[in-house]
Amino acid sequence: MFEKIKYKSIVLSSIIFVLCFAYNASAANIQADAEIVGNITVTETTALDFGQFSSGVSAGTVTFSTSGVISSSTIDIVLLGGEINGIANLDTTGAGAGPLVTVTINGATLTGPGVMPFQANCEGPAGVPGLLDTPCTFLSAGGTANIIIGGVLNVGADQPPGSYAGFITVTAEF
Amino acid sequence: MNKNLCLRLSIVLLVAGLLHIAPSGARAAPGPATFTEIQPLVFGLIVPGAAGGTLTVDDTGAVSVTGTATYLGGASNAQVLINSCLGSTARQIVLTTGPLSGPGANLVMTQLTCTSPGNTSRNNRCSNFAGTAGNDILLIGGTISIPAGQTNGVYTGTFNIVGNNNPACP
Repeated sequence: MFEKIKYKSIVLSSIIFVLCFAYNASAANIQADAEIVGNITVTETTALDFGQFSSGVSAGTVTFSTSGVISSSTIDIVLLGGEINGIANLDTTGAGAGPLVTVTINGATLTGPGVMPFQANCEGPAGVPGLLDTPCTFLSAGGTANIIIGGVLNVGADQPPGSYAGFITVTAEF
Repeated sequence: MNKNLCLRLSIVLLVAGLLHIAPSGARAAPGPATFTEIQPLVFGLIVPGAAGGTLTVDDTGAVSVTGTATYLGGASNAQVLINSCLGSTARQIVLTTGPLSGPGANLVMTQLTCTSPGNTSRNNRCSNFAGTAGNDILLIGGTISIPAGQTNGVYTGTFNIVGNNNPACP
């Protein structure tokens, strides 16, 4: 009997000893999160159209501002109407309000019976037009936004009459 | 060993153990140290870009990115309250990363960093420090890897913090 009591005492004491002098350990799981946002998608809403005009013996330019005002640099180039500003829609949904959006735009060349190089510029929702072939910027509102496109078309002397077409590259990024 | 010696030894051990767990008026409330989340670790809004990259939020909340990843805002460090015994030395506070899961493949948390009171930042652990009335705050940052083409959406997860106090709280 006494042997059993002795054995149990040793075991119980040892257990208490180990438990009391062990390190107190604690743990917790802490929350972490992130949100992935996609690149900005750019969609053409309206094509840029310099309209109709006649050329003359002198070369010159046709300037179409983002506010819709069109003008020629010489009296030889007679404007006949039909111009339309280009509009591109940018989707910044998911980015939330605040991030700066930079729109890069580069003119190219209209081709047809001849060629007419041009430069383009853009204007964001803030209403401040950018310089030719220079990025324009605006702050994202977290949804979709339109940019307006204008440009300057270089018309050669006695430019061959006919339809001319080309493409503008518009890139938007945060 | 004779039975009297065994019995005396057992009694000594038993009394020593009871003294150790007896409350003392000079200590903070009895019980083990605890961790309480004050604010989570938030990596914010991220655009992966063409090649992806990494984003790091340091212990102070400052953000840096690598590769083509673009940070849009919203990040913050984690702040964890450690309630430890008055005067005890908090040792072996170990941080273990965990994945962030969401609409796409898991985002991998590659590293955690921790600044404990009076110490500089450490990787995946917090430096030893002496507890002060149970209200110390650990500042924790981390790094995630962002693959190119990662699916848009919110990714959530947890990281683990484990700590031991020595000596143990009464």
